[in-house]
Amino acid sequence: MSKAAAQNDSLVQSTKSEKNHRSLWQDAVKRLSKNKAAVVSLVFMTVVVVSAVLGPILSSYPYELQDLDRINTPPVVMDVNALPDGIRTVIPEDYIQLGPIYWNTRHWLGTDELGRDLLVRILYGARVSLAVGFLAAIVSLIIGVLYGSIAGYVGGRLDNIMMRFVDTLYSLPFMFFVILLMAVAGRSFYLLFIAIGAVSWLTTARIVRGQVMSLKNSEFVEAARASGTSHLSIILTHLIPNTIGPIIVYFSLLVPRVMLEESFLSFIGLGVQAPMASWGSIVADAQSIYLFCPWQIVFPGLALTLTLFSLNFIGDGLRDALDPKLKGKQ
Amino acid sequence: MIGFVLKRILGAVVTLFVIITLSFFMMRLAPGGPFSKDRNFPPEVLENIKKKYDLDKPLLVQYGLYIKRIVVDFDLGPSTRYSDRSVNELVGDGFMYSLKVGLGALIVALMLGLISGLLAALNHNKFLDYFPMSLSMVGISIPDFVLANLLVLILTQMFFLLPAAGVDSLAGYVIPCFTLGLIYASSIARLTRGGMLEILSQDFVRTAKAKGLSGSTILWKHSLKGGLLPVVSYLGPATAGMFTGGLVVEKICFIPGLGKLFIESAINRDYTLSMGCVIVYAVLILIFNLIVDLVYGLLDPRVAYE
Repeated sequence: MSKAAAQNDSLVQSTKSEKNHRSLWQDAVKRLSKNKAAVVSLVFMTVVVVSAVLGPILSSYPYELQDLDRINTPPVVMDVNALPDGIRTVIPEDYIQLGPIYWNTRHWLGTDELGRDLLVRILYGARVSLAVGFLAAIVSLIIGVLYGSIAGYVGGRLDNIMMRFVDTLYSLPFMFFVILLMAVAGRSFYLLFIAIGAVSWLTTARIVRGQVMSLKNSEFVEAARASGTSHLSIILTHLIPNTIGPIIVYFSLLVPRVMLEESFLSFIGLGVQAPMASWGSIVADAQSIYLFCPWQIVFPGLALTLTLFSLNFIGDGLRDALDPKLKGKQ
Repeated sequence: MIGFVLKRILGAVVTLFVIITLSFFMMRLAPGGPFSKDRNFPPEVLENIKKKYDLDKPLLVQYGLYIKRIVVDFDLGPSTRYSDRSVNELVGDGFMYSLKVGLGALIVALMLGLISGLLAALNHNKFLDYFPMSLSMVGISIPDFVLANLLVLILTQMFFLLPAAGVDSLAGYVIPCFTLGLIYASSIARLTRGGMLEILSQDFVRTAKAKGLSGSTILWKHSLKGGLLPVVSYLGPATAGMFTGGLVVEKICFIPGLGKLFIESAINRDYTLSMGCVIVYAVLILIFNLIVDLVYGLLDPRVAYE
């Protein structure tokens, strides 16, 4: 009630000052576009997504192609004519001189232990990491929203039992179950995002339940009920759309968390399997030789960190934009 | 108070039971067993091996025997992979390493997190607020395996400071502890800052200021206890996270700890060993949660021990 009133107040104020009417969403977009970190992050993510989609198509090397004459070629070297060290391969005609250093024009970011182009693998890994991140977040969103809205709408004893169940699940160390599951049940791509999604819906369920409980006694729901709308369609068409703000905010913070979990699983060898690549598995592949070939860890690690960084900023920005009262609280 | 503690312990025991049951059936119901990967045994030999590990009996009987053995004898059984060693021995060895890494990480996380969070809250909207908070955003976003690798690269290759791997000396623990510690310090710093800002804007702090109390008295006597409550409740999940994070740093820094044991045994389908690891982790996490609950109640008189 007070929340609605506060939103109304802010709307009334903004319409007074701006003269023309703006909706809640236009307000949110305006607030978001003022947030520099979020805008920069959005631009960065657009670049990442576009290059993840187009990069592997445009590149002349497939992600699993092994250029066996060029194993562990560095992206830059100080001296192209240095004696071979047994680990890195430097083929002088691939390099052009840029001031004091030489840059590899054949494989821009070098190659890995099997002679695969690192740039193409990072771009391809971006596809896998982003896809798992979004799909798993969507899976957990669907479970959480349905579970939470049913618990909140029905209320009473059922709500009690359902939320007690959520509390119990909260106390379980889930990552261990996911690891066991991935280890014993095979490591398929689908199992990966279903498993991660299935263990991260708990908070969504709590948030949605709270929202639904505060909405279910409002006049528009009563009107819908009086006009004979079924319970299911009240939940689906009236209640869930009204919780969309907090859901978007939570979703945007969930995606980076899920991507982190996927990269963790891939890193310990239980995520996507070779020759497929995700950012976590690229770092894991380089684990045995990275002291000699640091580029094999620095570039995928940088890609992953920057992506998570900007996704977190976008999430923060969306929270400030959609729920300004929370600003600076978390 | 005693009733509250008993109730919590009972709850923890039930949770532990759920964890054991779930992981037991999850492992057994998946196709393949601990001996399916090895060279083909003659059927009689396989029969004997299965008899040794009770694998010839029906699943529910196996489950009953397993629970009985844990509860009555505190025995996690023989390892199906390392046939000459018991799970108790293996887990015991690994546990000491993991515990050292975990405790070191907890100390680093608390010290760095609390100090930078307090600095940020006391210098709200100044450089000392923005700087640690931007750093903590990096800490929240960077995955533990990337940070561990970067620390290894920088400290061992560029500055030749530390051994890259191994825990023969204390120096070997620096990188694993700092990796996990820095990541959780970021969250702790943000929570400290949020909690302190909330408390410092309360009426009773204004009253304290108005009656002329010094800044340090207000901080230490009036606000710290309340402001740190979010941090205390975060410590439960944080410890769980540090133990899971241990899986990664143990792999990178070649520490023969519980995490390495757990992943290897899960991949090898070493039923008894991976169950043993899960149980030890679960007990650790449950004990930490219990301590956190008790401390929370001591700090916040509004929480009644029912």
